[in-house]
Amino acid sequence: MKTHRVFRPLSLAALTSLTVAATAPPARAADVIPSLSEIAAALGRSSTLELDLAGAHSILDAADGQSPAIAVERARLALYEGDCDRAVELLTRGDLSTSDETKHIGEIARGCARATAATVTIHDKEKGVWVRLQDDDDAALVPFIIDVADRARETLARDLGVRLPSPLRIELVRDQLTLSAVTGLPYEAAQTTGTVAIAKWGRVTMLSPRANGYGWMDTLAHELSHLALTAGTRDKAPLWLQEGIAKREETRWREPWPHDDTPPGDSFAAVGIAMGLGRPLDKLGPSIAMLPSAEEASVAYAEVSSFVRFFASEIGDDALPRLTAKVKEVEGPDPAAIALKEVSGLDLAAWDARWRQHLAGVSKDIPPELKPGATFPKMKEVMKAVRLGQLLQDRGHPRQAAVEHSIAQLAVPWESAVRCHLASSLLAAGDTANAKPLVAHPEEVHGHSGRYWTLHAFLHPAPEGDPRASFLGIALDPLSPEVACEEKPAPDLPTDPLRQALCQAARRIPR
Amino acid sequence: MAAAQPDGASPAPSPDPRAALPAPAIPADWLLRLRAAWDTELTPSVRRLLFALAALVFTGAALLARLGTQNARAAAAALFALLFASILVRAVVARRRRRDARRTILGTVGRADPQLGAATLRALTLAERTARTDDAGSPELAALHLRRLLDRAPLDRIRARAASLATGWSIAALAIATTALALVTSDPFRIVEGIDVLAARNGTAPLPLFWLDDVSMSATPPAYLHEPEELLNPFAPTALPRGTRIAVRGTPVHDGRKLLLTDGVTEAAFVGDGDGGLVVHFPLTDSARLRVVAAFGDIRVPQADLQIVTSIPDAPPVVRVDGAPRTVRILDEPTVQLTYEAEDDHGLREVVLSMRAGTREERRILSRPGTDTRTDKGSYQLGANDPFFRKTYAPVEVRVEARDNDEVSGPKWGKSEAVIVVLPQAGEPEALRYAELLKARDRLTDLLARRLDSKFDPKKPRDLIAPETTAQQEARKLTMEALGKTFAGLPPNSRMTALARGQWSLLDKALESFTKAPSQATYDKLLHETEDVLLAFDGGVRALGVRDTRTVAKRLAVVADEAALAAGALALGMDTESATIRLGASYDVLDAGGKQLLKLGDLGLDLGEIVASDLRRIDRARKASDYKHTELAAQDLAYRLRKPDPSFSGGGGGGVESGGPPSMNPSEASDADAEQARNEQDLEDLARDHATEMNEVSEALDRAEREERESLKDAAREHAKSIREAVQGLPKQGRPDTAESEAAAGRQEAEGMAGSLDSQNLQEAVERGREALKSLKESKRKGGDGGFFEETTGERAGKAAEALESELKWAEEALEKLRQSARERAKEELSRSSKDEEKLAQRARDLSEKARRGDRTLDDATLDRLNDAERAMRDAQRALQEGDGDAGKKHQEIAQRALEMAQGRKDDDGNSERPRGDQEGDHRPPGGKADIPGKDKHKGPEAFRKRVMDGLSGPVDPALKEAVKRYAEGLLK
Repeated sequence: MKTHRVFRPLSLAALTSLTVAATAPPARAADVIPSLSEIAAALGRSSTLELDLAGAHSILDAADGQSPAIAVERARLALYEGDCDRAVELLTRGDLSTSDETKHIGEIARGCARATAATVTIHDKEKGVWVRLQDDDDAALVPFIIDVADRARETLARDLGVRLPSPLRIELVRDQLTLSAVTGLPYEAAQTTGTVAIAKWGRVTMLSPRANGYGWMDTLAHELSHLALTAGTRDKAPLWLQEGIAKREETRWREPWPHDDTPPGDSFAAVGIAMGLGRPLDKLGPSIAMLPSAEEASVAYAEVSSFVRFFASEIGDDALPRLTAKVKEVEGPDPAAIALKEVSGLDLAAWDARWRQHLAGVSKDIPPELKPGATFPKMKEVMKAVRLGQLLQDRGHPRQAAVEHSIAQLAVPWESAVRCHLASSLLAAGDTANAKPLVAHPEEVHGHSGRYWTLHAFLHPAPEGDPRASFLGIALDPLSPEVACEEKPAPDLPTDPLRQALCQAARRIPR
Repeated sequence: MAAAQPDGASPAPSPDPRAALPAPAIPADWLLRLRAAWDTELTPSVRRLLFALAALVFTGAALLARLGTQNARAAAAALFALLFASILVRAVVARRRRRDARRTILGTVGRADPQLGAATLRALTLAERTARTDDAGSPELAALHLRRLLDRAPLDRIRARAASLATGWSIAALAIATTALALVTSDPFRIVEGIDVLAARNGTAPLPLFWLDDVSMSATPPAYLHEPEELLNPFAPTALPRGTRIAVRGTPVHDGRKLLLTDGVTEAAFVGDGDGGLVVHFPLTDSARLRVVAAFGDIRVPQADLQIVTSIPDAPPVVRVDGAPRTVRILDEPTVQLTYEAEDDHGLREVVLSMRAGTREERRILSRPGTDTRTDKGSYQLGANDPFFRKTYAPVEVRVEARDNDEVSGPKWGKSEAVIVVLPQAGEPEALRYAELLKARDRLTDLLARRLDSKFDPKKPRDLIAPETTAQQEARKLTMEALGKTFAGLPPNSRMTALARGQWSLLDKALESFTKAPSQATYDKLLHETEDVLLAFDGGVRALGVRDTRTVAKRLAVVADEAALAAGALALGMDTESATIRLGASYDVLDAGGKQLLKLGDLGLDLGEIVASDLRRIDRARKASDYKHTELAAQDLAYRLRKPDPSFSGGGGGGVESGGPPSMNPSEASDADAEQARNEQDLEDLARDHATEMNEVSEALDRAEREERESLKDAAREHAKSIREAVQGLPKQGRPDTAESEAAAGRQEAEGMAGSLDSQNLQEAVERGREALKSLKESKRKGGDGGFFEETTGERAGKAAEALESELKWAEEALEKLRQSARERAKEELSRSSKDEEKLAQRARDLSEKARRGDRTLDDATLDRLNDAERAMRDAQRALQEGDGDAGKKHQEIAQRALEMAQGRKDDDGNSERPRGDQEGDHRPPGGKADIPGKDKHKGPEAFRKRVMDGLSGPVDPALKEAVKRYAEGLLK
């Protein structure tokens, strides 16, 4: 909203002056001065990128609809508003240029119209959050999404000085193919790096955790940070700044959770750079999701988050709002570099040197299994034992399953998923006593397993265990029946109505 | 006037004073006398004239009416009307004239004595005037004057004058009567016909007339019935087959009439039979009432006789299928046996199998019965893999239909009751197979659980042998049974079966080791082997589930496309009813198929959920009549199903936005399936490369021989000529088992040999020459017939055999020489092939060893065949090295066959084992490299073609050889 108020007088003034210029009589001026429609299109585009969709409307609606440039910008605006049908309709005009950008927008619009046809949309007007669900069975997630979005919006307003507009558009898609179709990210790139979310076209498009459990709440906050930064800098923030801030903000919408900095970002970046997986901050390419491998992506994330964290810690918490505002103001080929120098007195190279110096001092002692590109030690042996344990347990031989799972657990004691398998087998075999220690101490394991937390909550209820455990499970794997139903056997349900709905959604088709 | 008005009353006013004039101005008797004098003479003549005239008009009208056209009949009717009107008018006029004194005076007195007549009229006028007015004079005087004049009327002259006129009228009457009579007497029956025609109503005359005498009738049934002509009893009711030609013959009663035979609708004209009679042929269609009629223009005058013919229609064929009507679920009954019997009252032309599903229809000819075949029986087997069933998920209506030979009303089809074939839902066979394999896996899991539980007791080392052996055998039996099952035509998966066989052979060996030397070590080995086998089996099942999911998803994508098309049509308002049905049907198929996907493992579950979700989208839009979005949602589903990848992949376990730590992937627990795929691919590559090599050897030999044969061309032709001369005198045929028949066979083979020599095919020439010699010698042994001064057949055959023997010897020597020369010529190429063959043999050994070393994904039988192939390749390599192309080729063929058997392509009988399901699946290892042979390298199809050509153009009658070759060419095209 802030950007909206600031921009409108400016844009109207600019529009007026440019209009006068455009209609000026000198013949030669016509060769260099853009047409009125082109000016309106440029202004409309600028407003759209700043997420000032009302402002963009006021400009584009008043402009000449016959102009191809206006049609393209109206289509872009429609995409930002989530109206893909309208975007397709606007782009089906035969007189539109076949520029790469027009083709790209057209492709996105068609993919989006196809993927979102007859989907379900939920709009919480009070909180200003609009969620579109490709799979209506994901509706149980919406209250959680709205809550995260609302809290993230407040945090971002505080941390970046940018308030995300209302409604905030979030789309939950069913798979990476759709994610690719509605955002334009190449499908192969999504598959290579395991992309789960993209902030583009004025909205967050994220994969339903139904496909594969992941830290979807933090991911949402991460993507909202991108949106905020895009709006706050008029999409002029470079990738390192975008991803660095997003990584920083992805956990700031909430209180700290266990495993938040596991492995420590600075250490991970230092090790990754030492392993040759690092890249210069300004050479990360168009998107981290498009890096050649998941390992490089993880190191790149660590680098940028470490850098931004270092920068913020060095300059102070108000540095980022100032930097954001400055990037928006500055014109030129690399506004962020100029803004960085204006805000901090040092350019990117200097900051990079200071940061690398800082990294040199951090501990590189991280467990080998958490190092960049790490694979499971004794992967084959562990996989065999885990799989045999699963087969035995599914067949009703929990005792024998526990034997196999314990083999795996001995090989990778820190792996939370293996502990979960073993604990589950022991529980099924009636051996609760041996199951409990496996999920008693979260610090013994690495994160990323929702089941760990629900087993922890089940076997170590508060106050003995972490009172947030059930929620942490949902934050990681909300549609796993065991997690969503808090380890309760069917048809028992959790007591909380929201979690009841989640449990029912998870059980609808047993996975 | 006083006399006229005795009471002195004034006369009533009258508009016509003359009309009011009292008639008695002239005494009535005078008028009567005058009229009588005239009429007495004239009236008979006038009447005669009128009568004659009426007769003439009548006759003319009848004749005019006889033309039968509408105009003619109208004109005739008009004539009649005119005649009657004239008579009537004349009568009225005459009557009036008789009352008219003036006309009477003028017509009588005036004609006889015009002056007197005029005077009389004047007197009459005067009398009338005096009667009307007082100033005209005395009425009495005037009347008196009139009477005096009347008294002077010359009655004789009047009579004479009338007589004179009468004579004229009589003459005229006579002339007219004569004319009428002439018209009548020339053909009096025409008048009757004319009147009959004139009286016709609705095109038919009311009075039947007799037209045809001495009527005879015959009936010729339609040719396709092959029944003889039948004589009919004229005009007696009869029943005849539809299409019968009825011939009616007779003598015309009246010449010059156009006679027809009609059933009221169709008419057939009589024509002269060349013997003074008439004949007509009438084709019988429906039952008819036939009459002979005479045609007068548009009017038909019938003969009274009526021929009632009942048409016997050709009934449509009756077709019965055993058990029909019935419903067959293809999952329960993968093979539908259709045993049918078709019958027709006259004959069958064609029996077809008709299959319909929705808008699709297919007809297959089952038989084309010969002429006069009234019954056809047969049986047809519809398999679950029938091409019609592919991509069809709706129930299929199957009928047997038969067409008769009705050439009259056109062929008619008879249909059997339907057999409804309920096809499995999309993916259902795959889901059932998967479920069966999961059960088999469960058995293995149980076996592992048992072994994990069992404790080896060193004190009783053999205790575990029996129970473990029994458990393993039972598990093996159950798993192999599950692997051998077929589901709605979906055969067992060959890769999975091969994998299971390989694994079981490993496990059997481990059990054997334990049985031979029971110890903790051998038991642990057995336990670990059981674990590995379970993981390999599990990996195979999961991989199969993924492959099947991809296959089913792609099939469903086509259905989703169809749904999108239908929704698109609805969005445009086109073809609403059909599109609604298509959309509904596609929706149902997708729904059912999506539910099957859910049963196909992880990827199936993933995609099945997506299908369910997208169907809800489609349904939402459809119910809201929002067909544009229905179309888009269906397109989205099709798009997704065409890329049947997991919804999420890459980046370990998925971090925030992308990337993430390493995660566990169950598919990494065993490499058995991937290894199996690689081995299969290697085996396929090896077989293909070996086939190419084999073809190259064949070509090298052919090329060398061809060049050598060219040099023998002239000599071979000379020898061919000698052979033909040697057998020239032998019979061409004979009774079986006689010297003649043997001689004929010998001659035929000898001529075949000559033909082979003409084409420089020495190998064939030698083979046929040997056969010829055998037959000729046999003929000589049997002796045969001969005249007193003639040689017996056997003797002639003996002489021919002697001549042939030397020719055969020449051919054998020439063949041997040719081969030797060819070998020399091809030596270099064969030596090259020998090295290639050696490399191929090494590949076979490497593959075999690799399979033994790894997860043992090739079973013993496959490994044995691979070893056989390797041995044969080495034999071939040696033979080729020595320049013995023929021997090398034979060994290569053995090796190739062993390779193909190892691939599971053929069993020992050459039957294909490769299931349909596998053809759809992806056999290649993930990311594996596939060599695509160049067009000049891979000669498999060409080699096959050559083998067929060689086989079919082998020893045959020379006269037929080219025809056989052409047939083979056609087949291979």
